Amino acid sequence: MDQRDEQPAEFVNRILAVQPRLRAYIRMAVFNPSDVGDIVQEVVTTSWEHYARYDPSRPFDAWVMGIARNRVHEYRRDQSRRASPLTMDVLHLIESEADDLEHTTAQIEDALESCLSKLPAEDYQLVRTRYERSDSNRAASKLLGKSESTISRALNRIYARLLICIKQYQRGPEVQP
Amino acid sequence: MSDTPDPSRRVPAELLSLCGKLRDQAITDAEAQRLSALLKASSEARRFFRAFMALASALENRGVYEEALDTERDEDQGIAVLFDLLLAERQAVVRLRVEASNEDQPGPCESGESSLSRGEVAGALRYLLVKWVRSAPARWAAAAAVVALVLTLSVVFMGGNRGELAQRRGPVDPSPAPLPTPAVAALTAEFGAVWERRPGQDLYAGQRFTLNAGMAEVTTASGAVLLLEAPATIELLRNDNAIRLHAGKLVGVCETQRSEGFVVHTPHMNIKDLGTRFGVDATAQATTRVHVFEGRVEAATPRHAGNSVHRQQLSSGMALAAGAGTGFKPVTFDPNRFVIDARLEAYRPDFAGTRVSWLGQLVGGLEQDQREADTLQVFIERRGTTLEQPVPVDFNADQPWDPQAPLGQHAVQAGVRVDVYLLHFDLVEGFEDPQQLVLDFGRPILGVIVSQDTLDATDAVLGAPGVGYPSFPRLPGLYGGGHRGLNYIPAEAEGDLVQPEYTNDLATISPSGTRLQLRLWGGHGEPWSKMDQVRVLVRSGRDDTDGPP
Repeated sequence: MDQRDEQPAEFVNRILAVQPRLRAYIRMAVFNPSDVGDIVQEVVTTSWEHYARYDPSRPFDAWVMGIARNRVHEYRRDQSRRASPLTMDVLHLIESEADDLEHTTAQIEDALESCLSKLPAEDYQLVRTRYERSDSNRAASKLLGKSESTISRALNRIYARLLICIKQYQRGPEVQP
Repeated sequence: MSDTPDPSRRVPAELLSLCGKLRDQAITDAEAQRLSALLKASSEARRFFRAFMALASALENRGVYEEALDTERDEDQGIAVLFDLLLAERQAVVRLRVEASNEDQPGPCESGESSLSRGEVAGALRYLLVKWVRSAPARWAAAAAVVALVLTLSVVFMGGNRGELAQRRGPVDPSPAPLPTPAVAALTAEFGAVWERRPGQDLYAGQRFTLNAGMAEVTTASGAVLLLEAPATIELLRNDNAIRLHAGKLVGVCETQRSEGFVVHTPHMNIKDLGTRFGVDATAQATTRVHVFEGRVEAATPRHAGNSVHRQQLSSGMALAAGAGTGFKPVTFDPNRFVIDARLEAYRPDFAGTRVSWLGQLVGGLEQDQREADTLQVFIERRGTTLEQPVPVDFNADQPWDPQAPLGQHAVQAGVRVDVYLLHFDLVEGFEDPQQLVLDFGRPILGVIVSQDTLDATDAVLGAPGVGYPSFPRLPGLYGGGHRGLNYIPAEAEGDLVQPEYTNDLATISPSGTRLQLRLWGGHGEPWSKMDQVRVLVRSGRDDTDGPP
């Protein structure tokens, strides 16, 4: 197999490796979750179209994140206020400090499944219903027979538990969330 | 480097609530202004915000898989669905059914036996994506051919059909039964195993098991085979091509394409397979060691706040240790610390020292440089084979090796039941001094083959089925075993062919008839010696026969 034949497989492996961080970065800056997937796909498409220009001596993830940054800025410009209700200066500030995102997403990848399995059964069921059986709090509220605000508050509590568990997971995986 | 927020510092309820409202697209202008102010004022708040949204992203991504299953797709959506499925990397055991275009002709997998592991599905989808990337110069919609392929795949969740799936998803289910959880690995063999809490055959993400005694073999959905040696504690991860070894020893064998890149997470380092067999020893609390028997691995220190990640690649015959918060330290390679294949332990010859590796069943290939290592690698090629015809050997216990006599003149007779071993010596660095090695097979040695000609002549009947053996041109004259075998250069032939420090290889059978004594010279540069191989025929004393171990 020549080098050209290997390029797509190499690209796919690399892009899949950077995907959690890429998605998290875009999610931070984009208000509408349904737009996140579209932007991820556009970034992947653009990365592949320009893959021949990628300098392998540089980190691939930094290259892709640069493309993502540009795409997010375009999106914000096009969507104006609808892109995110946060002010631009705050978004820039969050973005400028986002070097920790790789570490954070890696921690989440490592620990999420374990932390989910340690949630109380009712919370675990709520997470699965909200994220695997529905695409919004409204849809989940119909499935569970609870109000949207009840689900939102429960999710906040669960998020806090999960973040604590994820943090403690690296210290010792025995900790209950 | 910072990381997820420190739980010891209480997250203000207001920040949590506002982040939740942003996540749920329910935030008002006033609340957005308040959230902006909080984030602007505090780096800790911004760090929490990033972690909160990264968690939202990860959870939302889990849902992509199910959403894709339930979406009525058209061609424009097809490739997006494919990509979503791949990106989701959702752990699910699914069944793939290829829908035949003609419903009267069932697709090739359309049966109750069509269950595929999540790893196989991911592999198939990955293949399709690679194919798409290769063929698509521009946009998603351009990949019509691949979209058509995607649309032929009916992904049916846990054996139901789409109708059943829709029914299951449709009505409100206030106390739904837990969705089936996908297995990420299976318990495939046990050898005197005593568990703290015995696992079932299927192993799931998040499960943690302690093996108190004996050994157990776990095979991941990606095809990595892990042999655990008690006492050991493992944890299954969502990624089916990784495992966490909290304590104990394991040997990893990663010979499938999908298992390349398999990662063993340990308290002190993460070990990534690069196509190999390796051992990880996390029995000591303070350090973890990795020993590479074959191929290469990459070791990396774990990501901890404030620490940079150290990475180092190791090739066969190398070993490395890492402790808490410390970098790497080279340690002596010692394959004898590990049981490589418990099923073949009965065949393992006794040997001492660190210059011999017992690798069990020979699989793959033995071409030059394919299995380089600074150890003598010992494989078993055949077990319990009854010879159908006499096979030539170069010497036996009664007729010692005479390098200057014609080789291949002795024979092991037809009807004898033998186990066949191959000793393989293909150096990476070379040795300054000749290596003295003794292997005790515990059973009578019936014949030994040390020359290229006799090795070539017996590969077909004594070699492991399916293995690629090296093929070198024959060497004229006196130079012993040729490129493959042992070399003995008579004193009168010394001259411009022989380096001054050259020492002849030697092989003798002990008076007991069960031990093979070797002296191998590991110098490089001789035009006649690419590698050293020795084939040993031992009287079989077991009921096992050839076949999968």
